[in-house]
Amino acid sequence: MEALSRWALALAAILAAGSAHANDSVMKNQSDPNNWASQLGNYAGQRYSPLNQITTDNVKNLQVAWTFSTGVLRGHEGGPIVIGDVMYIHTPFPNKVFALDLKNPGRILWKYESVQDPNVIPIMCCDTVNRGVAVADGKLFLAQADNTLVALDAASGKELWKAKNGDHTKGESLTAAPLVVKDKVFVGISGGEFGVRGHLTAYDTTSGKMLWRAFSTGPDADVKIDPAKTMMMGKPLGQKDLGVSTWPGDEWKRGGGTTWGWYTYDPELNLIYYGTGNPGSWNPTQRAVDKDRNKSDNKWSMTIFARDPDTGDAKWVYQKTPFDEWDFDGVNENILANINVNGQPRKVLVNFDRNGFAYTIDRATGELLVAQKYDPTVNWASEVDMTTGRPKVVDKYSTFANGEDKNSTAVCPAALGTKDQQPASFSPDTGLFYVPTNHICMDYEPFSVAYTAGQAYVGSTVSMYPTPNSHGGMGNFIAWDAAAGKIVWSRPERFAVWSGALTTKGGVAYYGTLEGYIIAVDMKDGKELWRFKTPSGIIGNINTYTQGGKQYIAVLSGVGGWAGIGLAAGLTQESGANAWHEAVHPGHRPGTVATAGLGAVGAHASLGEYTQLGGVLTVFHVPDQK
Amino acid sequence: MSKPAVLFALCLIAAGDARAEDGYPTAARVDYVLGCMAANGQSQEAMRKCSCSVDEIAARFPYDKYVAVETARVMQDAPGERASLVRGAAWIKDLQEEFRQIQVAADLKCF
Repeated sequence: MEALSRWALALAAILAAGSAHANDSVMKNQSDPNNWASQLGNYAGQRYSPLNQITTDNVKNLQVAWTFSTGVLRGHEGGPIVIGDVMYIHTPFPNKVFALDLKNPGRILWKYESVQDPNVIPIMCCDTVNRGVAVADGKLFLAQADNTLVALDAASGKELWKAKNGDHTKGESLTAAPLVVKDKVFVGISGGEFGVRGHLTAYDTTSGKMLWRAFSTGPDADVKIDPAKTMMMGKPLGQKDLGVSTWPGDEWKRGGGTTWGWYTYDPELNLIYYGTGNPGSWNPTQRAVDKDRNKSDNKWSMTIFARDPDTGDAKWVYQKTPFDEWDFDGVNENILANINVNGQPRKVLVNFDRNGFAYTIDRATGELLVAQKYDPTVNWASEVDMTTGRPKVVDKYSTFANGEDKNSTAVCPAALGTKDQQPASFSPDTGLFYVPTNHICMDYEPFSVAYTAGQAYVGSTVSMYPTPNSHGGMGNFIAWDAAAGKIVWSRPERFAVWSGALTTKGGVAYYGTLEGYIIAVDMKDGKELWRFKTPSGIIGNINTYTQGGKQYIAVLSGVGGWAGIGLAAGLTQESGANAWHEAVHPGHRPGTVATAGLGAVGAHASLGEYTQLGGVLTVFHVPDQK
Repeated sequence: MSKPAVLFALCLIAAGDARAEDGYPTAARVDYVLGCMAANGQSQEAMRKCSCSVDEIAARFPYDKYVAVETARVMQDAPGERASLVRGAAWIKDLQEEFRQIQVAADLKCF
């Protein structure tokens, strides 16, 4: 408990230093380790808990304490928020929110369900996901798929205000969790596959009034860049309007740079951090100025922004993948930590980019300290030039050099990245980062595409497969030393790891798998300590909190329909079974095998609520000794 | 709403992680039988045939592989990039084919 009080003191110090800056209620809720007050655990995005009741010794005794079915079948990203005795959970479209009473597990205090235009569904590229809600000042903020930001009374679920942040007929949608700093709530925008123009927008938490909007592309005034002041690689930018000049014609107007990842905040420096996504079309030729890669950075796509939350002004920028040729959508979270780099204590930001490089950056100045591959099979670039900060692109894997309608093969990683949005965790105890990763490569064939508002603006055929000549699986869970830029240990996984990680003072790290397993490992060496199969695949983030003085672990699972029915009933469908039976047993009529049965569709209907297991919250505890 | 949730939780705890020698948890068999009965009828006879079928599968197809096939099945129905992830993996295709053959053999024997 000594460590716990030290942690509380450290947080109290930050709270005191930052009270003039941060949102006081968020800081207060975050400083109480009994809560899980924000999606990433705290403003720094560490997903670490100082709770230590569940340890490497007793984690094997974890059992299900209670479960809750959300009644929604699609992919469940994000996770529960816990403040005091109340848990808030959310669902994919139609973005229901439930407030649950933890004193009486599973009891619904209130429920919110919006009415949204279902036409938003087809423009959501990657499932109708939502990464969760934010709670501050007694209000709950939800960024709905249909671009509505809504504030609810956290006690009653009553609507307080709504703001419209975008237009789905232009391909815009909302999937990211909002962030609250001071009197502002920040939301981004999704739609990177629809030629939208990304931005981050601040709304007043009380009135819902828009306070500022900073675009990811275009003139400096729109991007809120001052070339004399905004820094890159530790120096002022100097050049003006790079958000226009690094694009051909007016391509910047459909230049992507969406902001659908996570946002973090440093109260002392008073800076918010986030990444921008892929530039417009996936076909690099359409984004090249004078057919010259060197003139075509497509700024400020693929960029880490550090902004003043009060004004939106960009303090510093760092573009990870100038002139993207692979859809390495640069939105991943920027985790803030204080670590020693080259023997010096540094305030850093660590970013595990989709492009396969992990960047350690001075978060005050934007100075690049470390950039190394966090999967050794990454091949599109040999290294990052530490003077310019630019990747050294390998021609063989350059889809621009190879050209339109040419297939660039065996590019690693795939467009899904070495890591997607699922947030990593930092443990101040070990000083290491715990990262859920993909281990996938691709073939990428760009082609010319025309822009139509609200239609997909992709222009590339991509085929993905497990990294060749490796362990055969599609993922790894790794421990990363961000000072040295080295993998400390790595656990191969059969499927890509798409759940957010959690680390704890108890020495246990947790993550989930697409098979539905929640897995607990020893943070020292990655050794597996416990696993449990939840009812569906896990792409949500694992959290921990206490209730009545006892530690719980919670996770949302759900990637789609019910697996069992697909397997057990799939064979019985006319199309499948009869042809197959005929092939293996010519002349044998499998008359009794379900040909007169209901088939999978009917089966779903007949199973009622059981089929709603797509989305399930599972809460675990170590039962009291009898 | 709260009652079913709590009841289901209790069931899970009671069931724990009971496994037969072939490694299939009881819950996985029950899940398969429920799905199989939903397609073949809610009768005692269907229950018997479906149970026979899942036992045949369990005897020939390791549980770990079954979990992979189950996962691939769900992922294939997911929208966008996610489905292409599992479609691109040759080992998944092979595994699904192997499962299908074992399932057909099981159904021919049991039905």
